Amino acid sequence: MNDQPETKLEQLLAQATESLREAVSKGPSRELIDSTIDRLRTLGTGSHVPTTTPEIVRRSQRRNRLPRLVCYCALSAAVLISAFFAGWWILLDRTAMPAFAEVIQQVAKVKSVTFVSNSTLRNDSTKEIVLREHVKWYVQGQQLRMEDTVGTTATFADLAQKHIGTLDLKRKTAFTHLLDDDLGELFANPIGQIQQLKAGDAKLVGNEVLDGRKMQLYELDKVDFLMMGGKGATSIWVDPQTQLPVKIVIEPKKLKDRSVFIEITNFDWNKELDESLFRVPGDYKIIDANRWMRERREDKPQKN
Amino acid sequence: MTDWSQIVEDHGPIVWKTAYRLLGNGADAADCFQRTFLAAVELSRRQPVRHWPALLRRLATARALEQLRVRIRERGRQTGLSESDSQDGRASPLEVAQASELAEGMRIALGEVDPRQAQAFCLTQLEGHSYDEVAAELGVTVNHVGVLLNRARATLKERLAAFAPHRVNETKQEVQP
Repeated sequence: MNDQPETKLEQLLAQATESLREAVSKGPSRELIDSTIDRLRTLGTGSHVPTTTPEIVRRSQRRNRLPRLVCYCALSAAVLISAFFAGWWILLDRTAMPAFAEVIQQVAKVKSVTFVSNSTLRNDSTKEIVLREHVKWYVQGQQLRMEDTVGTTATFADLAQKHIGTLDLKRKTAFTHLLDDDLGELFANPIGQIQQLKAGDAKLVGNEVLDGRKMQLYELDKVDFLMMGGKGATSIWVDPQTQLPVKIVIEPKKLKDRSVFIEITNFDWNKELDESLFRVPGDYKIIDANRWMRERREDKPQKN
Repeated sequence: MTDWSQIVEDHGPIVWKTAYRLLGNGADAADCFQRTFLAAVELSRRQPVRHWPALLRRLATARALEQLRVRIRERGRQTGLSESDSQDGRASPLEVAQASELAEGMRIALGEVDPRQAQAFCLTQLEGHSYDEVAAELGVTVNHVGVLLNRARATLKERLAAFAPHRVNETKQEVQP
């Protein structure tokens, strides 16, 4: 703490205070005002003031968790789908260097894969970690499933059907999305950009020992894709025996004033996956998130 | 006889603004909103209220800070981003995360500060109350308000210094190959 310049800390405190001042919302809902008035009226002249949370608040709490969940999963999906397809499409690009050809062939034969991605979003100016996520992935054909490692949410997508579902595993609720709405941009644009990539920059850097085994390390330079908005570097470690990747690291230089660092490990190739991973379980309540978010936007007052 | 219907109608927006600012999401703000008025009912039975807006801001600030402290205790069990008005479906999730980052850090810091210091800080820096007003509201001298504020600022800076580069670098080494 002592090595922090006082002026920098003062500035940080001022910015943080200002950010709270600006954190405004439209006023309380009519429903909340009415229920509060009703609640106060029922107190009458009694001496006891109940301290339990009224039902209106509990319902409000449940309802208001939805946008946070949707946003949270959308961020995960945008960043991590980007990571996955960056590696996947690069590997499938037939214009890659000859040394990479066998890897491409092996990846093209793959029917399914599971892996774990660790993504870190960092503020470049403060060096602070803004967001860190650990996600388990299941991929089979055009179907994907992402699970956070704490077991609270999962997102599955069928890219052929352009359909996405976010599961609240604890409350057994599913939010379904369509790719042709706002969220669709987050999914479709990255893929479109990746398809335009040129993998001719792939080069064999050398060998590197991972977990006691010698792996081939490839690097793809000048990769311009997805939300990264500029140059970046992708490293791929390949098992020389299977010619399949064992680790992928994507480290773009800049994302506005943020940097994203993504590491993909724990690959398990051609593991047969249960189809139920990519569906809404039968006992879940289903909510159309596209309609829900549209209604929420329409409720917001127009800003001048 | 107090007209609670009129008080909620007239001052509800003030309470909401105070609660939402500190809590950062609608669900918690709604909870704080109702708790504030329940507390106001209880308090009005003990003493006459001369200035409702000031009283409600103080109560809302205190309730919101209580909720912040509870949230911090439960932080290890929950994840999620705070809402903000930039989250209107057009802003990208990344922009939402960026916008809420500093405010959320400040909320966490406030929840870790001594309650009276945090309340003095919020009332003066966020609600615009004067030292005299805060002194009257908290039942302390004006000089004591200054002391509380100085201590709050020092502690908040210390908490916010978690953004320091050396700590991030240590974390970065953990995740890099």
